Amino acid sequence: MSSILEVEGLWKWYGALHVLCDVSFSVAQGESVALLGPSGCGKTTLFRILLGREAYDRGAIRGSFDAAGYLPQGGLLFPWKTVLENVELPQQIRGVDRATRRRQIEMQLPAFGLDGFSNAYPHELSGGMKQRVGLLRTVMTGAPILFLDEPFGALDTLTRHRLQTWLATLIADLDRTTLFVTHDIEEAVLLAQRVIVLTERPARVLGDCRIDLVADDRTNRMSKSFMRAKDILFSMIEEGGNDKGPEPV
Amino acid sequence: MRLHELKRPMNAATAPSTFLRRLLRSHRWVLSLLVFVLFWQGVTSLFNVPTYLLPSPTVTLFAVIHDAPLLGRHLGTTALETLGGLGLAIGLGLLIAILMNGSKLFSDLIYPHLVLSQAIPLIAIAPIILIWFGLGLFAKVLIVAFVCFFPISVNTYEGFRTVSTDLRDLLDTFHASRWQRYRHLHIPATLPGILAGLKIAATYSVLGAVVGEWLGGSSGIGIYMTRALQSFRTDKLFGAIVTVMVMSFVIFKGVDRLGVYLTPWSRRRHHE
Repeated sequence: MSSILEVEGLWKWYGALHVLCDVSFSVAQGESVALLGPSGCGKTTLFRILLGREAYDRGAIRGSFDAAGYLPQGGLLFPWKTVLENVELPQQIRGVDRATRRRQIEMQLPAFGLDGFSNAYPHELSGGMKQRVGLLRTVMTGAPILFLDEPFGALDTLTRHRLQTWLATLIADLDRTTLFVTHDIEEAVLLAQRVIVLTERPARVLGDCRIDLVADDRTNRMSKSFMRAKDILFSMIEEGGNDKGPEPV
Repeated sequence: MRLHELKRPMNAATAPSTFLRRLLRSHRWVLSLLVFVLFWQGVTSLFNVPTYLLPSPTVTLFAVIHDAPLLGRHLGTTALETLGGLGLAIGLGLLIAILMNGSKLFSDLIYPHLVLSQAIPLIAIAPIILIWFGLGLFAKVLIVAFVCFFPISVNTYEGFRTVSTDLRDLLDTFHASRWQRYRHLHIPATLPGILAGLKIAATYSVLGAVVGEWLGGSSGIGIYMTRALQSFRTDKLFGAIVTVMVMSFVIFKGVDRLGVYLTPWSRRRHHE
């Protein structure tokens, strides 16, 4: 499978603060990859670098995509726009005509549990709904690769569980390359085909773990293979915690 | 009386009308105004205050009614100057704010001058504007614009500076152009600030027009005031003051309603 994204030996400092340390990985076309690491390890910085919003100090990034869909932490909706206006924004900016984009969105609303809410403002929605609006907007960018920054980080446990299961099905149906960051091991196992484990700051790659689960086991959090995948990732994080990694040259 | 009896809700017959309560709650200012007018009337009647010193509200009202056609003509001129100046100030204020937001150099060069311009007393700059541009409508419009553009430009510029960088970054991932960034982010995010500046400007605007007329011209409430003062018709002067106050209030409420119309997202409340 050809790579859509290759990251090679990435280093990043904010002044004296060392954020990324020799980070290398690649993402294949159509793959769903999780960047798993503790909070504050530099995952969002890595995302911002990949999106071209932040400069890096050393290394190389090769991407064979012209546009990327980005879901920031917390969904980040425009408070003055309705659900429909928020979702259509990427297409509106691209110049897609109003009737076409609205028709496409109206077709997607039920799948995202937003039927009947197209004229609601963000402050009228629950946290889970806001997140689904953000996801729909990201999907509607039409980009071949989606970057999801802690898609459900700000939600309560019950809503998060429900939406994780829903997103797992959605990712399988979308047939797009998905790269997302999370600090939740369970979320990584549920949503990703591959998990790249990062250390605490400065973040470096501890391991690259393929999650080979059959579809039923993936959505059954109590299945043996799901639990085993979680254990493997957990022990990888535990064992790698003391390894300080390479020194900058 | 038992506790549960105390807590028992009032029935429809004993409870005051909901409509009346709502009306009183939303129009408390009318009550306070009524109290003030009654106090004013009481003082002038009780102490038999001469009309040339302090006309009573009824005398003032009669003066307004008596001079209504003349006052109306003067009011039309003042309204034209006020709205023209306010319109010019909005255009100028927004343009300056956009240019300052677009260029740090422009902001560094202009911002201090904006602040300094407000240190010039209106009574000093207005005659200069009248000397330069004559005693006609245009000069009065310029005086109003001079008074009003500052709160609009500063509020807008400060609003632009506090726009969410996360939303800006998100728009950049959509490859938004500069104009699209203003349309979808900067202007709606800053709208409450712009409207707050506009409310301040609205109250200053009538003042600017009247001061301009006071210093020279042939028509306007300021001219009417000058003539009333020169003929010691304090009742007409008070009538003109009340008219100016009503006009200011109407413009202020107009801006307020405009704000409600332009920011529909702030009207609805949380469902959860």
